[in-house]
Amino acid sequence: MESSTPKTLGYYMPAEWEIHEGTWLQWPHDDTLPGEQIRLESLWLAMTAVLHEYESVHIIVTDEHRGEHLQRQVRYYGWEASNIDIYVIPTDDVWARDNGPIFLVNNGGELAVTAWNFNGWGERYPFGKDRLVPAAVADTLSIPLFTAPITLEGGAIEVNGKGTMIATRSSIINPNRNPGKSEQEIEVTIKEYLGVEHIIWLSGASREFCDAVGSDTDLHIDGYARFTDESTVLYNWTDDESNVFYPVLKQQMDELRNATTETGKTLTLIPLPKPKNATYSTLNTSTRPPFETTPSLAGYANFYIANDIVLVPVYGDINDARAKSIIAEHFPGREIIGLPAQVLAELGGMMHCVTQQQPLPSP
Amino acid sequence: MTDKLYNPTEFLMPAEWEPHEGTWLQWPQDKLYWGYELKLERIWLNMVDALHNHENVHLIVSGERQRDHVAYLLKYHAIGLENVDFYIIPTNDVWARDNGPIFVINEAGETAITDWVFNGWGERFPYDLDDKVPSAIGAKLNLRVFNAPMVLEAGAVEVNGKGTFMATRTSVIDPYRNPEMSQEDIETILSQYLGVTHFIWLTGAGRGECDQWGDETDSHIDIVARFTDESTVLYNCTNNLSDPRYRMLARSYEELKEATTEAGKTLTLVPLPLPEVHQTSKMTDWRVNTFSDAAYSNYLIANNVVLVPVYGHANDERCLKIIAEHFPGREIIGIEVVALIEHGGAIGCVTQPQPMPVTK
Repeated sequence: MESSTPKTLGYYMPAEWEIHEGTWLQWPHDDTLPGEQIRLESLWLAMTAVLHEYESVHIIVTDEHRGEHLQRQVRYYGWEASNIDIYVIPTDDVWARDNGPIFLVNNGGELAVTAWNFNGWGERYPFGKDRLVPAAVADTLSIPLFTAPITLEGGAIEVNGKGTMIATRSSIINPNRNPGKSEQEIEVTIKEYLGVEHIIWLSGASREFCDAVGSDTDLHIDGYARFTDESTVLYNWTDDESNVFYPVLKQQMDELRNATTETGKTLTLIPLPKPKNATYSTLNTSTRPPFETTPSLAGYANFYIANDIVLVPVYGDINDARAKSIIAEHFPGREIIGLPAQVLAELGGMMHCVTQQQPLPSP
Repeated sequence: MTDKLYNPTEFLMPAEWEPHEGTWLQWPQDKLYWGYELKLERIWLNMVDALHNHENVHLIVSGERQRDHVAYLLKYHAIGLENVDFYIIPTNDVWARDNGPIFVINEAGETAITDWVFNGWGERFPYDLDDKVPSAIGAKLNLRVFNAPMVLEAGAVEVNGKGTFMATRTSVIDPYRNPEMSQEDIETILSQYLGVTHFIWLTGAGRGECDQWGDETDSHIDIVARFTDESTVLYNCTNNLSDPRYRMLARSYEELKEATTEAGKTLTLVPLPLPEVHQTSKMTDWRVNTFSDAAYSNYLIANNVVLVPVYGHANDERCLKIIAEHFPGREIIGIEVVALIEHGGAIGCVTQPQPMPVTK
């Protein structure tokens, strides 16, 4: 390990609800998945339209041609162009949360970037371009880059900004990410590179379970449990024991009940419903029978907290309003904005998975 | 009552599955709701993509700026402009099915337009511009326009092309649409302007009742039941007692069992399950949580394809199969419409087929 880690230099990862300088997005394109841009662009336009009213939006496009396309859209919709920056950085896909960069701040008002050897969620998907995004961003912004010696995705971690982090073992301490590394080694690295003191490890789920439900992340925490303040956690829950997720959610709840923050305080745990009707993929491209029904991973925990607002994925489900109400109670003063996210959820993620906040450091 | 120079009874409205010249769409604009255009853009691009290789696509846009934007998007997304043309006509909203025109054809191979009074589904929404769309299309295409002396939305109308007309009373024989007109008066006009001879009237559900599921149309037939041939009807059904549509649909089914075609034949009735979709994601109105009027019956039949609304619901695939069985030889294209259904309609509501006249 390097002698000057971010922690020794006073850097830490602030909580998502702390003030942002802006949000990074990776614009959808068709180079990896045909049809992805047309499918997702309406949602990216909606996120940009909303976010740029509250903070800067930094958009990564994979080439100049896409950059011109986006500039055209910005002009057509009449958005405040000074709040929207466009950077050409090659990407494989849209998951800015996972490939990073994860930003850190210090008490000197400085900003830094960490890079974590992104490997496509255990080599499930192409990652050659996405893994270079953090370094390109650091270079573009001329801020320090710290390259951590382990593989970690931003969606695998949840921090309260006071020193506590929650994560699932299955998404980090996994031979498909960090072969041969012990929990202790990984924990030391995370603490040094994110400036945390205390890690709450949840079990997560087995590869067999993840493959069965279509989780390509080995159960990232950002789809299952989220801090809303330093000791309150919203966690996915269903009372339906026949739900395929029930055993995993039950175990997660039991583990969270036994967890404490960095100060030894137990967590205040608030259940967040899942969509009542399991949601299914509409991605079927066959135009003749038989058609296949594939469940999607739609949920509400994958919300994104930005300045003055929270973006919440919604599905036209009866629990949409209830989930938004619960989230609203925990973010008083913020506007709760539901965006239809079906087309994104069926690709495996929602708003949190495709955003990456850049905190505003304050001296 | 009828046009002095031409007799509209020479013309008839063909069934939707008969050959199309094309389909009309009204491109979304942000006038009524913030973010409407960008939110719905994908669905409109998907529809053009699915249609334009099989028939013309006529796009109504608000002006040159939007025309250039849409043309650019079609090129950018590699859909292209083949068989796509643009008409600059001011609109209030996107519901091309309902503001019309309803096209009619005759045996001489002519196409004409019937222009019905459109009053925003009984004065619920602005309609000043949408009401003028049929006459504007008539002028641009240089088609005969028959001005029908009553209020009617095409989404309220289902025909089998052989003379049978099917509708709900609540959406047509309605004091907010056609006050002081009797069923007989209305049937006379429908016969003259659409060339129909036989009427199946379902009760439907009017104001107060249909509000429970976000339906602003008083139960348009296109979210209740659809013909798939001259005597087969797909009817929406649900066994979910908590779905507020349960009673209306059960009643409609009983009424359909008693109905016959113009030839006196009873209908072959095929159940089409409903999805359960709620109106919860309107960005400006997120606390509202009512059932929506989402249904699979709100499809568009076009040349070689059927565009079916899908919702990410467990019944999507089942209903795609049922629809496929009834349209052999056509490709079935599911288009995800959750962002559209919260505004009250799906694919059928935003498309208007223009038939291809056939000389006999």
